[in-house]
Amino acid sequence: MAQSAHAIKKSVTIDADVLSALEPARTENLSATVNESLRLVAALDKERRLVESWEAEQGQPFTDEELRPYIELILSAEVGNAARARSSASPSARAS
Amino acid sequence: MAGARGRRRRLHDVTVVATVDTGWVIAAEHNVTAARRLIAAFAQLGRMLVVPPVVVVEARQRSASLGAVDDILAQLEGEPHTPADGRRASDLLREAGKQAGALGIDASTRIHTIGTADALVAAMAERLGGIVYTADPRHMEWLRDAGAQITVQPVPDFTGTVHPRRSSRRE
Repeated sequence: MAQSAHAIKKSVTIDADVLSALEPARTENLSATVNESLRLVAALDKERRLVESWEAEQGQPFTDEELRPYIELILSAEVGNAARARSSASPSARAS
Repeated sequence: MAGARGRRRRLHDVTVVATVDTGWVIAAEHNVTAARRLIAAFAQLGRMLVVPPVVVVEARQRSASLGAVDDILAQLEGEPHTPADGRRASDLLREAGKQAGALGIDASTRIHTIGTADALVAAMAERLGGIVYTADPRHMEWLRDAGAQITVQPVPDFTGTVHPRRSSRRE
């Protein structure tokens, strides 16, 4: 997701258990980790707002029947992608 | 989370992010309902669909109606290319050309047919986790055969709805 040149300094409170659960590499630059996490949340929020605007425009939410083929498609792509990644990472695949 | 190679994993590595090629955007312009349903399904699953800048350029160049394609592009999250994407795209195109040459097909014709844009999409998809949604899987399949670590996912409702102007680059 795109980087922004403009940054604002904010003081935030983070739950200790969340902080301690992070890998050390993530806490080395906590600002980068927070920024990256919030950027993703913002992008997901934007995607959801967009869908809500379409639902408002059509006067009803997307139905399960309408979305089911696409959800199945996405999940199928993810399963296939995971299998491909596993297969390309296996020693036999690297040797070939 | 530390990756297997000891580097800090980006959120892209732990969240499912997929991308689209130019053909998907052009086809989405012709089947807006299907495009919206796919994006709604992404939102429902908490996944991200991102569009690279080169797809914005190509889709706007090939679209019959700038307004319609801009409506779709504006709705997708952007993801910038990196210099490494450019180098990887070049390597993939060269390999795809070599593979075509071995089959008696002119290498430069194959490279031109695939195009810089789709090669950059494949390079970016590798970096984001591997999944590319497409309305016309041929270019991505050639790039995958050339070594791109990608999963090519055709979107059935879009297949066959690719804009006719795309055919000008076909072999």
